[in-house]
Amino acid sequence: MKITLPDQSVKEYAGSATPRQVAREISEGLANAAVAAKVNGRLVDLDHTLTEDASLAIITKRDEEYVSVLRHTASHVMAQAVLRLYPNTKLAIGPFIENGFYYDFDFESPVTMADAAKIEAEMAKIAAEKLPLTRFLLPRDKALEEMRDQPYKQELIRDLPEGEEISFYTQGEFTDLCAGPHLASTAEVKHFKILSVTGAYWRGNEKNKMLTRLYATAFTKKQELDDYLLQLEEAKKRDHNKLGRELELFTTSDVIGQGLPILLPKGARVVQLLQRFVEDEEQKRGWLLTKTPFMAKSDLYKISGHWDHYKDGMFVLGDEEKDDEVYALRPMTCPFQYQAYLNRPRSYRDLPLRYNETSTLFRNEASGEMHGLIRVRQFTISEGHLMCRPDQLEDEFRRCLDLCMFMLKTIGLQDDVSYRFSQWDPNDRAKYIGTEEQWDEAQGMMKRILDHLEIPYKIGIGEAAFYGPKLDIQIKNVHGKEDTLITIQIDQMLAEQFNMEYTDKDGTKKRPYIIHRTSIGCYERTLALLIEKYAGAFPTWLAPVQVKVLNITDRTDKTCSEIMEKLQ
Amino acid sequence: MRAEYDDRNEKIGYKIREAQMEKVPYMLVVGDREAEEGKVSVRFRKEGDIGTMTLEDFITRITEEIVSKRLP
Ligand SMILES: [Zn+2]
Ligand SMILES: [Zn+2]
Repeated sequence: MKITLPDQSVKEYAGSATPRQVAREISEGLANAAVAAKVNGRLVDLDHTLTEDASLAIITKRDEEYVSVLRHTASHVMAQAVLRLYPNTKLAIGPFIENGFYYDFDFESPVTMADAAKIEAEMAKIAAEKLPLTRFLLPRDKALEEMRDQPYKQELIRDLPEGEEISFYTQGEFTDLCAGPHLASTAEVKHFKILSVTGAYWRGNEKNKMLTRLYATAFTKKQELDDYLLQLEEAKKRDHNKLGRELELFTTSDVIGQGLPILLPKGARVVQLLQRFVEDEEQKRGWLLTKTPFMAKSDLYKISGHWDHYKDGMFVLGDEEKDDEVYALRPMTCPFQYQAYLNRPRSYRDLPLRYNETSTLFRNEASGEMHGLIRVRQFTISEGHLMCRPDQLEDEFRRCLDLCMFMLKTIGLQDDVSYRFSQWDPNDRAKYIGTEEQWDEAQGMMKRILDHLEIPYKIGIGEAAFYGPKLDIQIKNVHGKEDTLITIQIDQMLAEQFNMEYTDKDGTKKRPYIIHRTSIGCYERTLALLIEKYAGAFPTWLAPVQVKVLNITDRTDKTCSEIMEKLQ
Repeated sequence: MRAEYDDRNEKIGYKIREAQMEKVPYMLVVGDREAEEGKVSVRFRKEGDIGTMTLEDFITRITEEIVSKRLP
């Protein structure tokens, strides 16, 4: 077995080894400072058994991964505190996450933020007790016995592969089912804070019981914790769901429903300005506007594949069992614009054909997911579908990207984005249409284009659309949550589904490539991002009210009215 | 240009604070002196008072800012 260290040096072992052993061989000092290890990029315990060739890094307090281990241990400390205070609580899961950790609990009686201080005080006590954490392994039947009072843990154990040793961590009277890794003692969990209490379904499934999730964070230094809490305060003030309502940009109504925000005059004005800007720019760059219906018969979605792959996400009008014709509100514009392409035969000279449209789309998402202007069931987006020949694809892709970047730059978001090359998951074939060869070809082509344009992307496996790979332009909101703002997709499968073709120079019929693209994202979300980015103080060209005239005295009333006339 | 006139019988300090809360980029304050001189006293976002100028000069300034879609 070969173990490759971060400096690329290689250690060879005849049998198995543990990271602790490797650390000790490097130096006694490293072994003493080690808190965990990273094997092939995954954090593991120092006593993890290595049996195959792997890359290995020893994690000490100096590494950025340390804080993740600290947070995981803090989650155990929080669970221990909860059990001391509320002994009949059932424990679910408690991982570390970006910027913090959480633990899901099934409490006997409700626990709220009002109880946070009490839990934090108990956590501080556990830290002061300096309890060592020890790891042990049990076979499945013993593991189930160990967790006899914890039904959620038992369910997790039953899902683990048969015959595998199951790892536990103990600190004082508290034991948790856990893969680790952990710090050696609770003493290091010093600077922590419970941030919020929310509901979360067991295993994220709406059909399961709603549990109570305690979000919290922990840091190595007090100053880091204080800075982070201050940053959270600032983010709260900028939260579009709060500020956007205060500034009367949007509201919601119980009788209209969740995920269906109402844009008030000021919010509607900002969206109108953005939309005019986008449509004018699209026109300048050779896009042709279409206006297509908001709904279609199921026939259309059956051809496009949406009926098989996206039906749960659509609002279906009518009952398939009883009605002759069933309609559905559109979740995307593509199949509608393809009908425009199919209006007459196309020749190679007609391409590229660039269709744009500002469409209102409908997506039936779970109520639990609804949030302000960001998680919505109806939204409006300026998007485009471009049909082209293979020799035009790269240049057209570049132009689409350039259009999106120009728009992001104009509204000031270009430095806040990152790129994700979203690919299919070959192990989840049912989610996609097309053959493996088609996917390899489309992704290979997209990779060549992205590499040629020197776009610094990361890869997202399983993030592709069901009909093709995408370049997703990602943005983080004020709370650090990442969302897709813009996507540009290359698609060679829907042209086949819709039998779209063109006559090439040599008279043969060919399938066009299709590029799907958005512009500045859906207007609702872009409005939310702008509210948060500018804390409500929009650039002057977008401000719903640009100038306010204020008279000091009634005597200047006439002058002010004249000024108003000249301004408007 | 999208302009509003706050002609309420309130103290000027109160009207300014309120316009700031609404995040309005520009405020034109007009008292006896400004009316007499044919000028406006301009306040701009957080920068506050940026001096008095003729209405024409103000319109030139803001128009340039809007047309160029200048970011704050
Ligand atoms: Zn754990
Ligand atoms: Zn599309």
